[in-house]
Amino acid sequence: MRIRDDAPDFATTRWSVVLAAGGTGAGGERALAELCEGYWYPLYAFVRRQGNAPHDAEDLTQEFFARLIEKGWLGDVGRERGKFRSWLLAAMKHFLANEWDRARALKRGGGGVVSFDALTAEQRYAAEPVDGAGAEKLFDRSWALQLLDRVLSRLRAEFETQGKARAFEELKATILGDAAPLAEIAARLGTSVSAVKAAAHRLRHRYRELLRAEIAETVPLAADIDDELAHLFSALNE
Amino acid sequence: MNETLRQCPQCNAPLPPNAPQGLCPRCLLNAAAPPPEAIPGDIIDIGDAAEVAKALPQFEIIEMLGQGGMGVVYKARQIVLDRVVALKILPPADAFSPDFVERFRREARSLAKLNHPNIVNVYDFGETGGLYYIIMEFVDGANLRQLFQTRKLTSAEALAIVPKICDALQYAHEEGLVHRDIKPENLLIDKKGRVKIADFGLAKLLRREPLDMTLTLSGTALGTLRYMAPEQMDKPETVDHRADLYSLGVVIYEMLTGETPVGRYELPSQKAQVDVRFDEIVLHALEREPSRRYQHASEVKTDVENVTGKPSPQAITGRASEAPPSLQHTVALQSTADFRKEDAKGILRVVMAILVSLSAIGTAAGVVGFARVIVPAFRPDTIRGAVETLGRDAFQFIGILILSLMGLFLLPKAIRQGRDRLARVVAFDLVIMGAMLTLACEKQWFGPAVPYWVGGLVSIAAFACWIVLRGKDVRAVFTSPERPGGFEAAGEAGAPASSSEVTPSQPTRHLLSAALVLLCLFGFFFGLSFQAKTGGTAAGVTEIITVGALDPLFVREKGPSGFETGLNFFSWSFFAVVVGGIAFGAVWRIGREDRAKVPRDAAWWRGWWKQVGVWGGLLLIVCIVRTVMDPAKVLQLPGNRTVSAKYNKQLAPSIPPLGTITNGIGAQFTVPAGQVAIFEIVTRKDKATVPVPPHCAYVLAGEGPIAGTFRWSREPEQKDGPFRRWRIELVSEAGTGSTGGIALPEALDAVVGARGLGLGVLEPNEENVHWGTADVENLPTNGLVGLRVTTTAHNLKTGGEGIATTEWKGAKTGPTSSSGKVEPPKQPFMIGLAGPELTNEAMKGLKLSKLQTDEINRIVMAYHRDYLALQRQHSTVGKDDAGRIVVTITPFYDECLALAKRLQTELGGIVDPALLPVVKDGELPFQIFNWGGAYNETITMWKTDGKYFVEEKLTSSQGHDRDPYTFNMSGPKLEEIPESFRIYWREE
Repeated sequence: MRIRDDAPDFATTRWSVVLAAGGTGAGGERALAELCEGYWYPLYAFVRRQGNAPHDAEDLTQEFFARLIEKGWLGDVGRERGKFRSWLLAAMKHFLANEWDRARALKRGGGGVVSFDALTAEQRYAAEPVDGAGAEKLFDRSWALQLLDRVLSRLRAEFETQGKARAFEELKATILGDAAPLAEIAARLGTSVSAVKAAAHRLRHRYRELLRAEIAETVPLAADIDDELAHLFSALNE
Repeated sequence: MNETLRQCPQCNAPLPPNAPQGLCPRCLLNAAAPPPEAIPGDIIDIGDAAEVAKALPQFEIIEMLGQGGMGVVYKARQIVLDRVVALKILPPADAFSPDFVERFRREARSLAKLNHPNIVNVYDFGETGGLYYIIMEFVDGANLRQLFQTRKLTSAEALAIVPKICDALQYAHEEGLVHRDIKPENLLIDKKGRVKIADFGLAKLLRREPLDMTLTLSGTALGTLRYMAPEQMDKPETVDHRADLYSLGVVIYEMLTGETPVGRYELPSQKAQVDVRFDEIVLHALEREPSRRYQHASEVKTDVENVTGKPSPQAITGRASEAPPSLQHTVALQSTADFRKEDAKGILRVVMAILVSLSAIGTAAGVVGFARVIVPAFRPDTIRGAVETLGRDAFQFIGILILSLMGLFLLPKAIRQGRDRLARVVAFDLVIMGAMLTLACEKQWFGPAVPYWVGGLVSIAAFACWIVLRGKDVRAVFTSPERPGGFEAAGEAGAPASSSEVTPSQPTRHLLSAALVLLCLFGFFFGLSFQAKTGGTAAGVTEIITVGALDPLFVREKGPSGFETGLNFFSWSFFAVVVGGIAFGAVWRIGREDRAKVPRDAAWWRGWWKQVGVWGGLLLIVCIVRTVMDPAKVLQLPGNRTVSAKYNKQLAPSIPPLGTITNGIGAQFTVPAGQVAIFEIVTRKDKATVPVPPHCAYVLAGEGPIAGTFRWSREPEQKDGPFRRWRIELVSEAGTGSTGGIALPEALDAVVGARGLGLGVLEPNEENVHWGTADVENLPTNGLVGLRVTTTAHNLKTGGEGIATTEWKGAKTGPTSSSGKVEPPKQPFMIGLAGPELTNEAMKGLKLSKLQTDEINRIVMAYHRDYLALQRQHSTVGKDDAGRIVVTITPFYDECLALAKRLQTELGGIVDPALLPVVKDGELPFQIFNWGGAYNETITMWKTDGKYFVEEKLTSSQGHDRDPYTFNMSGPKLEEIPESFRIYWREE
């Protein structure tokens, strides 16, 4: 069968919803909030790499999100049709440069529309390799890893609902390519090599679908998906 | 996550500590890029009807109805049950999801639960050959979106539709299903005005399964944004049946106002002429909070019905209701259109059948007819017989024969394939037929009355048939039993795709095909007028197709009665149309691609270059053939001039050597004062240019030089049956003059673009001289002749008189002479012709066809030739005592008789022998130029005082005496006497 590139309907991907909502923000807030919830960590990493202490980074990020959603910064969004990732970074830079006023009392903890766990954030950041990469590079790299993590989590969840969690564990290596040892996997799962092959096929397809769908959530047009993939790939290679 | 460093088994790079799920991130991204390999098995493109038909043999695919993210919908016929259904085929990619089969089954089952007259019925679902499909009821009508495109609905019409939808929704909701995608594209109205909701594909079973949050992102659309309830976007997990009511509200609003409610929208009564109570309904349905909305579809229905104040009849569940008159009118309009389509299809069938039959007949006739001409033309005695006999026509005939054969072979193949190919082949065939008809008319096969423009009509028919047939599916027209025009717009696509739509590259090819047909039209009409006005050879399609592309380039019709060298508008228009068509196609395509911002389509451009190559190749072939046919003419070799110079070496130097004018058209010359210009028809024989006696005309200049253009023109009335009357004209500043009309058999038509021959060779001091047949052996046999002009001085002086004397001495009457004065020309010049007409009284009364006449003339010429040969055989040349040259010709009557009988036999093969005069002994029925070899003939020639005299004596061995007569000629220079005569004269 000729596999149709299962492009999502871009009227309903989250970023498209945000863009379509434009300045009014109606209907778009929720979508934007969801997006931010998914990708807050790269922002945090960015802020940290800029030289801010953990507490400050936490505050900054929270404040940023709060202002983003409540102050209607969406008004700026509608006019340009860039990707969510680049827009988010630009907005954060803008925020850091102009809006943040340390002297102001900041909200702490809850109440923010976007919640993230500060402890986990710092833990993750501590785990970042020390390689002198700049803040933007770190942002992009973290974004890529975050994206992959989300996709794989979803994939895993799909298998788990079917009670096939263990199969996923064994099969996930087959996503990467042909190097996975099919015979071993088959032995461990107690099935035939051909069954493993077929399952690996399906897994790869589904993974690709989900990955592209996930990227589609953050880009305005279907044509941008490949572009974003390329960008993220180069980000990881740095 | 904090694992020790490992290596990725795929790329061997170290795994970063935050590798997602322990997998190498680079490889993960890489894995997203390449296209997925195909699962072994059949490769099926569900958008291709043919492939689908193969994969699902239990259906006969009729046409595609729509395409979208949810798959492809076809109109199909379920063969076993012989019913028309809508066949929805899901995208195969879905099959890779681990839970796809379950989801598919779930969807199909939920649809099957629904059984309501206002919901599209699901008959069955299944999987064959890897394709998952659902068989649904086929609704023959339009969707609401398409109705919107016609016009807004009145409130009365909205009233009619909405309650039905509410019925359906209420029913579905009670069954636990939410549509989630109510929008105008999914609301179908069939021809009877029944409303049906389609595409419950996203229905969810409220009470049974956990809601699937990932449905948002799994690649299937959740419906168009505008119609979605807010909670569908924000909190999909809380969506229930009230989302449908929101969507319904949007649809009602759009029905009434033509737009969807966006932002702070105006109330319907403000935007359109509708009852204000609709405002309330719309507001209530469009509440953001589901709890503040209508809670049941039945509530909406009640409110809508209350607006009119009365419930619609047959309200509740079940029966189809009558649509109100206005809506029915809309639907009825469609039915009428469909009915007209039905009618049109019937007419189309008849027209197509006629056109196809015509083209088959035409090309078959071409093969038969032209074979008939060509086969007899190949005489056993000469291989080049056809070419010699038919001349250039042979090439025309052969060319059309070949093309007819091509057309005949292409036609059955094209019928099988149908569609555009058939249109082009039929048009091609009809064009050939038109060319044949034109050629046949020109050759007067059907008699002189059939006009040339018959061929032109056929060209128009070719163009019309191309238009009619273009893009039609032949098989569909002739075999499809269903009513045309019905369609269902299930799925997300708004407009159904038509299976007979042309692909983007075809319009350009059609353009070039149209160019071909148009050029033929040009060819016929311009060639037509060309021929009608000038009487020249067929300059229509026959020339273009076969030979002569270059000649007509340089021939142009100008003025009402003649033509001169110049551009041939017809040929240049042909080239312009071809080149223009190709160029236009390219420019159009470039513009299209640039507007769409797509890269150049290599395949299309290859096709374009192919067209250029084909046309260029055709032209090249034509040029080559033409050049081979007559290299001297085409290449304007100087050899011609050399030849004429040999004949004209005595010309006074002041006259520019005019040479051989190959077609006599537009010959320009200057006759100096005191000279006469003699126009002779010459032919090429054995690579020499020799005159064709006895045809010529003369122009005598008086006091001053005469410069002018020499033209042939045809008299409007054509007398003498198959002969034509021609006139030679001189057009100069000094005035216009012409010879009298001469009737000439068409066998001597050999001049390109002109038929007209002069007669004889003029003696300057006499007006008329009968030379007799100076050299009949030089009669044209291959049809290529030209015109040669020579000049010589004459002795007529201003104010003087010239004496033309004919002395005739009869045995009984004694010498007499007749003389006529030849006065100097009153006008600046004199023009005339001399010589007998090449007619035969006996033949005048016969109504012969062109072919017969040609053949007769050929036979007669051969007879002529043979006769003179006999004469030569029987003549001796000597001198008498006075030093005069005496030519004695002994009778050769028996041979003559045999010749005459042979002539009659040959003619009898053509003409009804009863029409021919009987060859009686002692008499020769065909008196062409002389006495038939029955006499002893003595020709004595002498020269006295610079004058030449000739005496001819005839004595019959059979007792028929003719008084001998003498005539003199005076003044000719030796070189001006044709060579043939010189054998009888030896100057001492």
